[in-house]
Amino acid sequence: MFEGPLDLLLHLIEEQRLDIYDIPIAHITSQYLAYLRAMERVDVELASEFLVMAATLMAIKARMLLPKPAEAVATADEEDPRRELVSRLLEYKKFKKAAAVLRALEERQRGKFPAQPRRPSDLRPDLSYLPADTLQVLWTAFSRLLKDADPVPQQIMRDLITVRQKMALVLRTLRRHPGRVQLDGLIGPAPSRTDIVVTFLAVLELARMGRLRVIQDFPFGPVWLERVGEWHGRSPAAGSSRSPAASHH
Amino acid sequence: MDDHQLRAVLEALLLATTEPLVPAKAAEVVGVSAERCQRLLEELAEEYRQRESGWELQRVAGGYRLVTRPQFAPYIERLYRRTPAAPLSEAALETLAVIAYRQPVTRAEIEHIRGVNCDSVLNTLLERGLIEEVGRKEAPGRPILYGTSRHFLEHFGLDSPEDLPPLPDEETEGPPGERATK
Repeated sequence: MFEGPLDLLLHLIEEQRLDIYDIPIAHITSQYLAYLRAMERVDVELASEFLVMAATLMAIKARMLLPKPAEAVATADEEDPRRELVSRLLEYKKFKKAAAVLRALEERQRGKFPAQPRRPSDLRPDLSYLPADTLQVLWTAFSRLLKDADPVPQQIMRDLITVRQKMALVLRTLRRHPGRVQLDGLIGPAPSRTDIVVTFLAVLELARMGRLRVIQDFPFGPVWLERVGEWHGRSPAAGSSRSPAASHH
Repeated sequence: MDDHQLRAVLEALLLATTEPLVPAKAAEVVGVSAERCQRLLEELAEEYRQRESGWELQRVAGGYRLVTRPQFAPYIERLYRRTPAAPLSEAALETLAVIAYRQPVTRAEIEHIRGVNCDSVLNTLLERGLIEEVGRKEAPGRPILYGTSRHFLEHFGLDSPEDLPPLPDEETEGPPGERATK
């Protein structure tokens, strides 16, 4: 399969060792159209870009068949109707090569396993050397959730749950689950946009108040919430010495 | 502390850190200059190379981290059962290449180069955290600008975007202007 019309054209040119700076346009056009027809026969639905390119090729072919005005023949810098197509093909070819370079880099990196120390639960990552990541982390997580949620309702409805109620709910959930709670877990299986937004605001507010901590063990991993210490009973020192991660700006 | 002791401290930090160790952060922890930390980290890297250790010190995303050397990957794969990660598709790699070399870049600019719609492939790359929105272009419609992320650097083992090999150009074909077109 071809990534697109440029990919297909490059393939046709390279397969036949044609000169990319002097493409035999009539020849290439008929091959290109033959390919589209073959795809049609096997019922492959082609992206509309393939058809746009077919039209472009035919337009170029037509312009090349037109008799040239006498004075234009004389001037060397007469515009070649193929020029734009050639420069696009060359540009595309560069990035196709660059993609192969990335593939090789990825392969090389796959053989290198990073040391993975387990962070003891009483140690908190120092977020000062991950500047601005906490907000970015929350933002990424919530935009992912929002994308799956219902579209915006046409009718404006009264809030079913307020941020304040949601804050209480989040704290209750955290209290019931010692340790960490995954952010995604706070939101039901089929949340509405309002649900997600209210939860987002509640979590931010609680983090600002220092009631919970936002943790992510590795970039783009799951986001965890952890209650901040004061309910831990007899170890107030351990609890109060920690500052909430998400209050970091 | 002399260099010998400092190297040992840095080695301890490398072993315990969950993120690439940034020289500036190490300097703050140890209380010496970032330049000295950087020099000692490079010395450690050299030391591992010389004694053909099982690991190496990799420079990635502006920091240093310990990684196993690639020739031992087959053993590690036997240690675990590796579920082969879905490799990035050709479309994803092409799009990523355009973004990596042309960032910050808009969707329309990417689509012009690739000649196809890039909507879903951009979503895939965003979901995998390899690219991120880096701003808006001051142009009609204020389109979103995309750039590569920190995770991109880690995924491809790069220290910074400037670390990418130079974009291959038309060196084999020769400049278009020099050929006569009919």
